[in-house]
Amino acid sequence: MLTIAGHDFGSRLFSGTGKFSDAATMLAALTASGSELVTLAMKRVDLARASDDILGPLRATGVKLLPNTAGARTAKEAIFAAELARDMLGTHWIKLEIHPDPKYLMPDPIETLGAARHLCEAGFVVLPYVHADPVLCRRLEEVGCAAVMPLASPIGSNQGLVSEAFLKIIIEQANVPVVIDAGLGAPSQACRAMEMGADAVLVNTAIASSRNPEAMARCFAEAVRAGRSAYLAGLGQVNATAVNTSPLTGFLQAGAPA
Amino acid sequence: MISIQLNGEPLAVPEHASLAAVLHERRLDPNAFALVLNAELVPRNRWQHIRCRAGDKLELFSAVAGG
Repeated sequence: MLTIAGHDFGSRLFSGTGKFSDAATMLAALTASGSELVTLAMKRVDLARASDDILGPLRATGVKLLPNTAGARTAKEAIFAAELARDMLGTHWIKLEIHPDPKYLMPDPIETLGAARHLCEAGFVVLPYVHADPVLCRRLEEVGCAAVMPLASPIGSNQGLVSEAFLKIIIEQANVPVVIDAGLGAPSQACRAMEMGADAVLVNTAIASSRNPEAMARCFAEAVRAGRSAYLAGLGQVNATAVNTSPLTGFLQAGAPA
Repeated sequence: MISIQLNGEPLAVPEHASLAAVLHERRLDPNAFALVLNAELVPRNRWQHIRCRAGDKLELFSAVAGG
């Protein structure tokens, strides 16, 4: 069982709600994913345009909501977004993300650490989205973050585990859950992340942009379960040379006709 | 009546109207929004008690899909 800030999660697959073609498709995919933690964003309302009410149906599913601070470019903006989300959704949980660069959406480590410190002191349960930086992840843990969410590759890129070597160091060193977030493009990549010992993964684009999001959500759920089980079972050692699996006694030669 | 701004749009409201009354008048579900008055978040338990003043800038935020 995965526990973050005292909350137990039966599923180690967390899901985002963005980019789905409509609310019904999103809800079907979330149900198929088995996710018990799903992300949302906060946005200034456009009163002239009607939009799908996703909050009502999401609340009805009973999943835990994890609002994010997407759109924030500074610590100050992120703190403001967190306060908005807390007031509106009644949750102290916040996915802290600050990415001023619109091309690669790289998280700003300086602003993120500053905002994390402030929000933790203010009583928030902070899950920061960060680059796969082991030093930064330790700093975030020190200021009280409930988990760290290092990226596999740029948000929505489906590039997979580009940062694998550094994620391994983060997993090795962390004393809080490590949730690998962003860039996981295929169930096999999510499985690999879990085999490495990640505590959970967060997937959005790979499911939402699939031809069949509901089926893809199920595939990710199975992959995450398989990867976690493999991690617990213990992967075999990787060797540079062949290591025989059958006895090499040479009996075939010994018994061969002359 | 006094003039305020609601998400950038001018809006005429009765003098001394509460923030809650403005939302009610616009038939906006209070549970669906967070409310910011002149760049300050107003906790929802204070919406009944704060009165609009001419020139106030009121902004509504909502939860939307996101990753």
